[in-house]
Amino acid sequence: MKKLVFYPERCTGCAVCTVACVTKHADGNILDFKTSRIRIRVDKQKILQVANVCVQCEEAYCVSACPVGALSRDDALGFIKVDKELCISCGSCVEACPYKGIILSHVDVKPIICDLCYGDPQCVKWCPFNALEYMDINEKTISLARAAREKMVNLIKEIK
Amino acid sequence: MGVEVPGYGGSILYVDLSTKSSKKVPLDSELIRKFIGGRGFGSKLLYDLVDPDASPLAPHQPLIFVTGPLADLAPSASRLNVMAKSPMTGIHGDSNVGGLFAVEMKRAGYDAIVFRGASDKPTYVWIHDDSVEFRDATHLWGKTVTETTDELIREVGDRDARVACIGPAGERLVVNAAIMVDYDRAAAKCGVAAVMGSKNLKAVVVRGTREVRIHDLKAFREAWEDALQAFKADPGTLLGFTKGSHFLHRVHNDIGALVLRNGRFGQLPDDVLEKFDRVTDEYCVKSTSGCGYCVVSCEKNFVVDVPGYGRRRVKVDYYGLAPLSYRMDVYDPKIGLEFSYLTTELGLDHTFGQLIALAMELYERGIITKDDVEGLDLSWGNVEAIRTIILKTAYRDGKIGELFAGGLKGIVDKYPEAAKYAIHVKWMDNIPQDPRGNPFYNFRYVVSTRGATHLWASGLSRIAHELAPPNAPLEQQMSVFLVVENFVTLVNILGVCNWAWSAYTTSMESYKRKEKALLKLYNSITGLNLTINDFYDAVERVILIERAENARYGIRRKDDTLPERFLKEPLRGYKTSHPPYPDLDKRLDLYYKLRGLDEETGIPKKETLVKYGLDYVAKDLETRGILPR
Repeated sequence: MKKLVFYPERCTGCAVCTVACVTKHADGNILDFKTSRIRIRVDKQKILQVANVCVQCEEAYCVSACPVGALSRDDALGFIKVDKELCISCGSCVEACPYKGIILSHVDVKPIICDLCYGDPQCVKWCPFNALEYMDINEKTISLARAAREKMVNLIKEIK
Repeated sequence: MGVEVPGYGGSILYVDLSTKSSKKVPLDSELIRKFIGGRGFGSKLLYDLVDPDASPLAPHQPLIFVTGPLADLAPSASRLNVMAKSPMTGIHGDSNVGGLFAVEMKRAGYDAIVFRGASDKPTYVWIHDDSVEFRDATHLWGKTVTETTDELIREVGDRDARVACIGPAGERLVVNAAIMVDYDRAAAKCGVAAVMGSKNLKAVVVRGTREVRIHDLKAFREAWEDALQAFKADPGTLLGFTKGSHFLHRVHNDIGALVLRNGRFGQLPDDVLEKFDRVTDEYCVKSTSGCGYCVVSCEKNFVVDVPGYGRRRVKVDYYGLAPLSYRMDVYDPKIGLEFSYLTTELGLDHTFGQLIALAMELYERGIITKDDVEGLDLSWGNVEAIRTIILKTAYRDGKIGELFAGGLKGIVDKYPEAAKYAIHVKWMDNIPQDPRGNPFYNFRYVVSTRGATHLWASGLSRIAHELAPPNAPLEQQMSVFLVVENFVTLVNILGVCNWAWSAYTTSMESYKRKEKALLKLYNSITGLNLTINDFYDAVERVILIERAENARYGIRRKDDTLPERFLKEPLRGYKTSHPPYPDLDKRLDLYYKLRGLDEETGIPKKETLVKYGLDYVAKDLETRGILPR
């Protein structure tokens, strides 16, 4: 199984990843950037800008936070699946994620969570600065991912 | 005939500030086919709407915001052109800026916004998709750029809204003022901010939420992948990312082509050069940020203590830092960064330092006296004097403010003897590299339609030298020059970044890949299936119509020239020396011939205009007696 590792210090916030994501998940030939699974957040001064995406953390706070059990981890690929039938659009998962990896869709008010493009994440391929990597899960990558997430949390504080 | 083509906003918004009304006019297919977008649309609109005989600051003159079809849809694509008859030069005015204003504007449904008329009191325009609101800006008048932008984002209540505003300098019609976008990106050239000020237009705020439609999504993704590969394969991309344009301090110094002491010297002492070469290492915070979809992200975030303001972030490139530091003999990059912060906040162009350098030479020669500048000591490198001039000019305060507010032309008008020392072409002061140090490439200053600028043939420098080394015949040099000028014009038409797409391109192969990617991106987005020849025909049209516009302002061959100093004096450095600029006339003859311009006058020939479908321009020039009937 593999996971996304995001290095915030490499990210320039250029948003190329959002094009990769939105064009991959587009319905017809319309691009709706508001439904991108990866997003750019900026600080108040619009100087620090950095991508936000679900990084399949081991803890999966979103899964535990969901009151109706609509979220679960995909056995084969490890991303977080959404059962839209069960979901009550309460937003608990959005609140629970310390990495701001989830938003609610403006279309159907269900969580938008990275699906790893079903094993071929396009943002990893397209990022010009190698800020995203798709890595085999093992002890080393787990600690790497943990350190990267810490940095992310600190950055989010700065953005807030 | 109105058309909806994917990639385009779909309409031009005409805003009348006198009557506080606006009208949305759909794009027509003829305009798209002939001029494609961006600088193309802008130049055509300006030619058609400008009153050539009236002052640039007359209320009825148009101020045009325009973007290109690839903006928001391609790598490094978020450029906005701001166009007007320039109060700095009195000719065609065009200033290009990044940030995300253009992206929002297009998502709101507009490829261009034309402002005409003038409001009776300070106003800002809030454009939210189809809604256009005129709001009072009295409380913002006099405020700095950050104060204004913060307040406007709060007032419209949308954090994703983008602001283009003027600071105190633009309000006071200073010709070196800048329109500031997203806080610190500047449309600074040609005095477009003064035009905005003359309309009492403090700011334009825009937000667009329309969906984006692509003609062929699969081809679009392929084109993106091609473009990303082309960028990845080019070492220039990494260079731009690492140092931004600040690698040029050393490059220009090595060939002895820095503009020091107002064009009398070309090299810095080694220890000073070292400091500037390391400026990004010393003063930059780690995070780099780019404009929209920028795969280079050359913009550096500096952090510096500014007396009276505290610790501040500032964004400045080589072209801004040099005029605000060593061009005035200020050898500490930290002071240059502080001046960058001040000018940014006040909405003043970074190249303003070039004016102060001229004033310092005039002071040295006794042409400007202490009495003329309120007792200031204008000796080279006097930091306090420079700070005073920046502040007083931005607020047009006292004798000093009046002297500098009119730009280089204002100074020369007051001191006619200054004419031979003023570094400008067509009254534009933007000469970052001394042409004597690099004559072939810097021919760009001579023929650019907005006056001296490094930007309109900025790219492809290495390729240009590869194809036409300095000892190559002039014919060969000039034909390569056209390739460069054409590509940069194309980039400006499409709304992508000149720097990312051309300046950081380091091989012919890379350039060809990028050109192909641009075409594929355009066609996959729009479905119009243009050819590369269609692209370059549009480029010819744009250059022709801009030259025709300038012909109406009286610009002729004699104006396609360089500052007297560059033509008469040699340029020395510590280790280098260059003769006066060579073969200007021969180069011009060749350029005119290749562009189909009249060799006597530099005006587009009738047959050339007709060849590119600009019959109406030919007729207009005939009616005005500029072309013979």
